[in-house]
Amino acid sequence: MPFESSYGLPYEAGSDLPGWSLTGGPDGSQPVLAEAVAAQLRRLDNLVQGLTDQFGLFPTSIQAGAASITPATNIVNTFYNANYFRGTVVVNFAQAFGSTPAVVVTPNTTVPGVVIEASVSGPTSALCTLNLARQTSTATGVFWIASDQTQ
Amino acid sequence: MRNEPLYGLPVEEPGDIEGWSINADLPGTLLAEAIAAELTRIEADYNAIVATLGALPANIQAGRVAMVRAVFRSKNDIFYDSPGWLGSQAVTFARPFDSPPAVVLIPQLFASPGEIVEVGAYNVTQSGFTGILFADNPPATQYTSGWIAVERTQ
Repeated sequence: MPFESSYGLPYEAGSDLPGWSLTGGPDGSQPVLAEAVAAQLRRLDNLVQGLTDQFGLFPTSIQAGAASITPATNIVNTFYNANYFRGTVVVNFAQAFGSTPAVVVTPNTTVPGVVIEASVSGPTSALCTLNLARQTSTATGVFWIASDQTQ
Repeated sequence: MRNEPLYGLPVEEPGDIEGWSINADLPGTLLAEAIAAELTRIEADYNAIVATLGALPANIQAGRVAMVRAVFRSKNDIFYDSPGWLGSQAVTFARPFDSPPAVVLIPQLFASPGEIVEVGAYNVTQSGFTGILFADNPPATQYTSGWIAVERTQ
């Protein structure tokens, strides 16, 4: 009896008893094609299930980008020795999240030590507002990452 | 006739009409069609996984960057009552991104929250970035920040 080389599935040759790969032969002792195929299907099912188990816990959506904020609003305060400047920019997510994501932001500045705050306001499934405060009113880059909340 | 137990694929038995599971002119489920139905189902399951993963950024990396006391330099600044301390440390990605990613950093504090003024990334390229940290004092040994770099989706 021959077997194909990829999965060892049985097939019949001219000298074989016709139909043995369907019946297992007169005494049922030979490999049955349907059972051999079922074993391979089960193996594939297990592989797919393994992937589902592994990646099913991932956030379904993670988006990321960069933005520029010009902090044009002069803020008079007593906390620091001088006024600081505040600005915002609205980020519309390229694809809406299923619910409000978690958003994190970090300044991307060429003059470290000048930024006071980079933060996020009012995130929704569709957008968020990025805030930046710094000592001067120079436009400043920020990186943001938004992810479906997993808890 | 019988069916194998895993997927119910048809199996012929001695005494059956010969070839019924492979002959559409004979009554019974065709083996080929039963296999095709299972393959279609598995392929759909696989495609669902691919669609889920395909919607995520293709490259996400994360790590920690430590800035030891020796890399901190005093930075005079009239904005504050006393000079601050600025440190930086280059990070090389384990594998390059296709384009400069979005990088966020968060300080990992063990004591004294409120001393760190700014944590940021600059000189972000496909192969790495420089993490910076500005604080009111240099660390006793080092400051550590966690970072995540994600391929930009927009």
